[in-house]
Amino acid sequence: MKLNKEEEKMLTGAYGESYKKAMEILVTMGEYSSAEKMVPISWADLTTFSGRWGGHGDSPDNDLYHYLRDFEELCLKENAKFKCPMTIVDVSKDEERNERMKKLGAKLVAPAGASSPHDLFPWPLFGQYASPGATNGTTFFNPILGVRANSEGPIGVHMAALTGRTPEYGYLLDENRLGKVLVEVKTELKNYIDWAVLGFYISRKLSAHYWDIPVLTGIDTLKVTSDDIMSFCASMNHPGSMGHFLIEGISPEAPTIEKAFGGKEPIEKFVVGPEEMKEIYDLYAPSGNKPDIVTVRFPLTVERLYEVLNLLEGKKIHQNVSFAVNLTVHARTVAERFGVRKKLEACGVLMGETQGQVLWNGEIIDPWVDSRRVGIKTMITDSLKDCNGARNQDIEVALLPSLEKIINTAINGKVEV
Amino acid sequence: MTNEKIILKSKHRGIGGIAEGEAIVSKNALSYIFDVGGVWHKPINAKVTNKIEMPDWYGEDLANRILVFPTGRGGIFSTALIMGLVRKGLGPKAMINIKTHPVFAYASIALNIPTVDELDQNPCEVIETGDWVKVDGEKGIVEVIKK
Repeated sequence: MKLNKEEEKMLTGAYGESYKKAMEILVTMGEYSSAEKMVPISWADLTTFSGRWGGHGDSPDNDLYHYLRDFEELCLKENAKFKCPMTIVDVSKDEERNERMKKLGAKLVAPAGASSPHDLFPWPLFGQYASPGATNGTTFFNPILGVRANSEGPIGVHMAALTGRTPEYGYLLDENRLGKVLVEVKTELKNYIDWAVLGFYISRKLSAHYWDIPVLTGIDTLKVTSDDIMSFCASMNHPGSMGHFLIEGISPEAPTIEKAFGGKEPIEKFVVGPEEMKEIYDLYAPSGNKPDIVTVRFPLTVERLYEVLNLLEGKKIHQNVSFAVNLTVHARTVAERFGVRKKLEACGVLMGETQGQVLWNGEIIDPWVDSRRVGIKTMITDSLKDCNGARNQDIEVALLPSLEKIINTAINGKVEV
Repeated sequence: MTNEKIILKSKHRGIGGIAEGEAIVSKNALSYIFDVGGVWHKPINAKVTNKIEMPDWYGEDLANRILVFPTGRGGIFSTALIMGLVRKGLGPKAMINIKTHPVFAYASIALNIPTVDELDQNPCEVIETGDWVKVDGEKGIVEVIKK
């Protein structure tokens, strides 16, 4: 790799061991990815997950956590500072880490949140390089904002934030941002769950070669909402790992199909119609078992907050069911300021403070980690990530196709098959 | 036993040192977070639990094996899972990919796990489960001895 003088100084230890270590890791990644140079990033984000109350990979009893803590402490010892704006969405509530990160120059921008981009601010802009911590952030920034970012996880984010650089590879390069696979969408997409199912199908089909960028055509661009897109992004990252895609007429780099493909022919084409959508719904169809917990896990935006209220007002959640929802930071503020929270809680809705949390018998739990321990056997959700994430718990997790059906299940205490 | 020897070369350097052993090959992309057993933040074992997405490895124990798979998928937390398993002595011995997902690559860099990708032939087609492979993570070379 060709490094500039500043990068060379970091690599040779002129600014201390912390910058040296960070640059060594970035150079290794760059050489491994055939990057020719480093580029400056305008923004990095660390979404800290689930910390002290147990949960995902970033908790204090995890090796990655220790690895990053040791690195953060080395930086502090040397009085190093992040060279680019670094934000933290504080899902973990880990005050020790927060203090360390603040001393390094990071800003806590959201008191809670989700890995979806609802709560990630400030967004980088078109053409800028960024290092998003949350996978869904990458999948939103590349295709929708035209930001250039790879999904690298917390180690890459830390090293990039400290040095202000990242190796130029993957989605940062022009040639890797062009479409390769044409996806003709020939089905009506009724809501954000349908969009998630569409993303799941495409992501699954391309999972073994995620770098072949799909270009979607056939979308009614006047009807799509930002919620639809974020739901689609969440699924594009799971089960596959599509960090970038293009939608004709929506993605800034795909005003036309010809531009999306850079004037070349697609290497592959496929259609997603009602049958393909059914294939995914069938994978996670409910069996008819009585649900223990019904959740809206894709975070409720303000728009859907009022939809839930409309569907629930004057009704009660069934006594044998926990109905738990996650809210975006914005939706939570609105819910509290305008009395929606009280109304929903009066109906029996349980509101988690942040992503991943569900209230169960007065305890904050993460269904992906705690279901077996607390006795949950059947879970109904709007989230395909839940369907896979809770798999290790050996419980039934079923997907329903609309908010209305999910809420009716919570009210009736049984699911219609 | 054919003992035919095939050399695969990467177009760039690899990660980590040298490892050798019997290969286990999948045609599917692997996610440590969604496919491999155990509880997320406290990985118990390296058995594949996802029958839907990893049917060809379902039930296999990936601990200390040389994994040949197209790429990684889904979720930044795979880094954490790999790191947790490595400390327990249950991590992969080496990884050979068509293209390594960055989330996996950073775990390999942090832990010095021999890892190679972008080889001159498709490793998921050339290598079969049971073949003996020697991975040189520094040079980006894989030596395959067919079973």
